[in-house]
Amino acid sequence: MGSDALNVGNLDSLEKSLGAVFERKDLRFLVVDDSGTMRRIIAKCLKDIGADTVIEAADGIDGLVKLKTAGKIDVILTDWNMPNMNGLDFLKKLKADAAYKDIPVIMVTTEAEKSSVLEAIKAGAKNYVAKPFTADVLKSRVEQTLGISK
Amino acid sequence: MKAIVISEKSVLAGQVRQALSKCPAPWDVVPAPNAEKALPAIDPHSLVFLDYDLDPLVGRAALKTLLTAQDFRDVQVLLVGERSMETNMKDAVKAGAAGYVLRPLDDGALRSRAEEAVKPVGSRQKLDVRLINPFINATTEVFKTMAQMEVSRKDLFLKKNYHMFGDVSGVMGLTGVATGSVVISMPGQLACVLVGRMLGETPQADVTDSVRDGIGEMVNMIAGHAKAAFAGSEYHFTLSLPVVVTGGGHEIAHKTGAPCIVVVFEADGKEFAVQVSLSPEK
Repeated sequence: MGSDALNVGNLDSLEKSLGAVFERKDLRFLVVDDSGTMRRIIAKCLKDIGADTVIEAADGIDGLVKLKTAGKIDVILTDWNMPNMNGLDFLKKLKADAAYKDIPVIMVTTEAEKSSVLEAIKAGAKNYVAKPFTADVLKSRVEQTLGISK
Repeated sequence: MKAIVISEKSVLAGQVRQALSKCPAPWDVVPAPNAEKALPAIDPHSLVFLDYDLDPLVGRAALKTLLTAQDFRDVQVLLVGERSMETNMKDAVKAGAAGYVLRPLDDGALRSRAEEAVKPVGSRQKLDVRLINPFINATTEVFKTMAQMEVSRKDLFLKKNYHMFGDVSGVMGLTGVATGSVVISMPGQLACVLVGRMLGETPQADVTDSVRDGIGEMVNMIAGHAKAAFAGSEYHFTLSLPVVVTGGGHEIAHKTGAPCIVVVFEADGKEFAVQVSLSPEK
């Protein structure tokens, strides 16, 4: 065996990466944003990290409707500033509903002030991405939320 | 200040020169026989007098030439005409002219219209120039992060009226402690390129609903990014929902009556403008 031989450390990391690949299968997301452009940008990033299904909704009310027929959802990404039902109210509705309260929610929003971040986390958001964001930042926050290590 | 007087007859330039000679600040009055010949003499903040006793189609074409050539600069166009042309001149004001003066000309009326046309809007309120920096930084950051586009700043000035310019404008109303609006305006071609870059797709040939949606999201991100810089200050605001307006010459009425700061940027070889009008807590 040459210097490239696998040692225990290599095996650990191989297992981890195989695990990550395995976990990345059949990932299903709900993206809630009133901007179709933003939904498409987010959906592209999610497909890059192995999303099988990305369901889109235009506001909180639409999000609740889509959830009823969506089946298993691994992560919800929601904007804050939306018509009809904003992202914070949507988050509170989710956390108050036994059927959805365990789905991790990432706020993807322009509301970047510390007080807004704290408000969302207090309301039950698992993670937070401030717009504008790079694809790498969004992907890493989703992976963090899913517990996937690279 | 420079006044360009466009008329086939030299008499109008003489009348304007005489009227403006009584202003406290000196005016340089330059005559031109038509809009095309006037263009080289127009600097970014000139006042143009356009003789509107013309065939309506010719007059409208001349106004369009002047407004199109100014890009995002703040050139004001005042029309001069007989009362019989008033309906045409009112239409021209809707299309972007600053106003009109009726013949026979009165020195005092002409002078006051000229002074009014070059005075920045909202000048009764105090202007804090520091409030523009978060919007400049936000614009640069949003273009770079979301569309991988570098922008450079070309100009900054106080606007003389609330006319928007460009083919596509994203408008974000700001409410809360401070009130006002932020507007991003750009040519349709740049809007298509920008949204194409955001989506990683080939730019669309025309301004479609998808392009309009993307411009709305741009102004949302710019306003949101800038907002964090005002936390706890007299300029703290809440975002409303973005609105996108298309078509040239439309006017936004800033209810606050606040000054309107315009920053002209360039991206992808094309200019665009960000206008900020924000009235602090009273």
